Amino acid sequence: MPTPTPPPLNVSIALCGEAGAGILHAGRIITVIAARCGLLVSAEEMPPREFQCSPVAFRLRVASATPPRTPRVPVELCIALDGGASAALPEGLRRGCFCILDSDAPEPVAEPDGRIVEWVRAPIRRIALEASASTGAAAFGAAGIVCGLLNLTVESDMLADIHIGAREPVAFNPGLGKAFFDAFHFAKKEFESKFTRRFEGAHSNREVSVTSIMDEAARGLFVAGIRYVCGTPSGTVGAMLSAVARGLSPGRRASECRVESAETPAIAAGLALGASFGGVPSTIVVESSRFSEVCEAVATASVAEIPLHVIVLEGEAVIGGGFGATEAGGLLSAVFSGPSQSTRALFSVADHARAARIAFESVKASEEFQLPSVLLIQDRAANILGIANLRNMDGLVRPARRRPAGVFDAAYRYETAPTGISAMAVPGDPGMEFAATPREHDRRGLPVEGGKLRESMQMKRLRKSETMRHQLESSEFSLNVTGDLEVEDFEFVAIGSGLTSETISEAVALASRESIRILHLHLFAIKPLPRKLFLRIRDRFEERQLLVFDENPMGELAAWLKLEVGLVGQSFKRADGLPFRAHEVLQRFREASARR
Amino acid sequence: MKPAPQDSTAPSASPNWCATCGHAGALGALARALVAMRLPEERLVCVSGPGCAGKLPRGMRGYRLEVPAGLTLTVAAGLAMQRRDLSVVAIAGDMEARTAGLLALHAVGKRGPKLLYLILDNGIAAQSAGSFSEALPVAGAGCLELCIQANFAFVASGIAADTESAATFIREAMEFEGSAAVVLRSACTTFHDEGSDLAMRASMQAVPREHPADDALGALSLARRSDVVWSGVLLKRRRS
Repeated sequence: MPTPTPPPLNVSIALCGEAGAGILHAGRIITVIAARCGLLVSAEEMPPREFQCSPVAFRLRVASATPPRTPRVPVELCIALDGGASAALPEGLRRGCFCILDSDAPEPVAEPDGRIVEWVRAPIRRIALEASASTGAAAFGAAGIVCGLLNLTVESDMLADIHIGAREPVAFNPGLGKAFFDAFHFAKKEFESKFTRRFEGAHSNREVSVTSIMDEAARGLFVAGIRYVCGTPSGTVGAMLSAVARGLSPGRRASECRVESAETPAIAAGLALGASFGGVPSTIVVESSRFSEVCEAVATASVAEIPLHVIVLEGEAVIGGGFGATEAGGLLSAVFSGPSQSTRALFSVADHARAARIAFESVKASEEFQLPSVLLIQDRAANILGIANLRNMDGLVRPARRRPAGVFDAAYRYETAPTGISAMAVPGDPGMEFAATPREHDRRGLPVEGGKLRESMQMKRLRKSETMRHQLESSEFSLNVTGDLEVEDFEFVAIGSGLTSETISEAVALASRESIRILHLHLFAIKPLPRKLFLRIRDRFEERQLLVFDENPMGELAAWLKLEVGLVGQSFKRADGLPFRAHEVLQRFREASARR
Repeated sequence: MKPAPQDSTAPSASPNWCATCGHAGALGALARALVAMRLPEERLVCVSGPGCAGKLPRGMRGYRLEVPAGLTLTVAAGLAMQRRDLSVVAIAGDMEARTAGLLALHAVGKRGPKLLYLILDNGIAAQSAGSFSEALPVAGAGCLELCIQANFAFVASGIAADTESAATFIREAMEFEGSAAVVLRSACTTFHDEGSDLAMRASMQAVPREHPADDALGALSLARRSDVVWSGVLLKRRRS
């Protein structure tokens, strides 16, 4: 007799508390356990750590079938450790939510329109503190409640290596395990009848691998053939290096890829630049706040036309995120968008849903065009556990685009080839010696002054830029277009980059139900920009029809589009450090539609 | 790929040093060492920093890379660690070695890749109108001392004008299986009145025969003597 297939699970959960770290620890514990139970989890900490002096929340979406890209509204289950903690949740999250409030918490703040439909009291803290006086007991208790409600099959070894606490890490101990399981069994006993109706499902699919955004990016690097990854061992960069090391199979470890923990980002950059010059594909990993320390190496690679891959991590979110709001963004704008033809680099952004693919593409583009390629990984959950479980990666492995055959026949490193991309000899190739120098040089790289030579080299660089534009124009790597511009008639164009991808997609889908037709353009490579498409958009739509969603307070994406293609649209910015949410984007669409 | 034409064997852009620059001796010494080693030119990579010293590779064949201050040694180390089939030479002036490249010195000394760090020490930053490099933050510490402290396994000293001896050290350093540093004192007669070859020769002494080559502390005490310009191998650590 066949085993009945359990119904799929898909629950959106919010945990909220008063300005403490406990609720965040609880969220991370649940994330880890759910992932270890084979569930697909997307987690988000809000607001980011820098702003946690007010009520905080941790949002998760746990699913057993469809990969959850972002924790979405509405929240179906809310655990509140304090009466006023639900203030941490935006209005849209509270509608229709089932809330469990700690028994010792004061009465919740009154909701004028009664949006919270049901409050249930549970002694979450008391159960946990009776089991253990250890730091983090309440967090394990809250996690136990949620896991019990979801009827997860939790084994004690799933908890054994969970460490909590950022500044003073607390290792798991038996007391914390007791707090967890006491709360777990309490929840099953008290609430099972209520919750089995809503969230039933079996969760034993252990074939699903658990991957964070960094694991995903590391996979992209491996597939692209990166052989040397350099960074500093601390913070999010350390986590990225660990992800790369985790991804190395034992046989690969020594021969195929080496991970280098350097003393400073500048030393990491130097090591990677040297290896790249030697023909070994290399990556520098750096936090956005320390990007300035690798700028010289990146600029040298740019001028000397050495392929070098750079990953800038924005996990430790600065206000707004966004590609321009951070130091990295500012520096990149200054270095790479200036008038000089010498300082060029490819620049892409990745959210966690596409980190592997974009990491792969950015490495390959760097090699193909012989330029540094900067990948900005934008994900506020990167430093916790932003799990994006992409099982279908078949499309990722594909042969790299090749340069035209004739280009390989050129004799010199800086040959004035028709494409602008000249042959890349590497040290060890006989008869091909060249100098890589930041000064004006001849086709062998020897520093030479002379107007005619300078002109020919400038023309070569322009040809290279045109080649890049032409090739990246049609690449799905550059942007994602939902909708056919040629066939359909759109009222508005929504333009975003990186992290806002799923949010805007969801809002566009909701808007279509209200008969608001929107073309969604989402950029993953912002330099070089797919100019032809944006020029067509600029010519076809009016300013009020172009809606640019910037997740930063400066409107950097809108400014970039204006600078590059003269496209002027309405810019929607964020200055509070929170990500856009689908209902907010939808509201913008409605307002724009009403004005029209 | 087509080979480069024959007429390109002569460098089209040689170092534009002053006529009496002592660095020319260092170029000659390096060239002599390479000829003696019979090293194929495609196996040689020179990474150089800014300033007068950084121009040295322009007088040579082989692969070359010019980088900003502070990156010379790390770039060379990254290359040497990943491409063990190449002979890598990092060339910097004493200004870079004592300032921007100081942290890199320790980072590379710790890792110990097989490379030669050639420091041309003329005591002056000629490209910035002749400021004295000894007035820099690492007061009193000479390049030799810094290299020994940074755990370089091979450290030698000489003067650039003594091309024959310098070529011997350089060859020995390039054949050494580990990180080697050769500090060549060089004359800058344009900005440094007391830095002539004659003055250097007057204070030059051979490294004492009784000094054991693997004695790091002894090498350090020799390196700290500011009244002597040593000629010879101060330190050659045994590699396990």
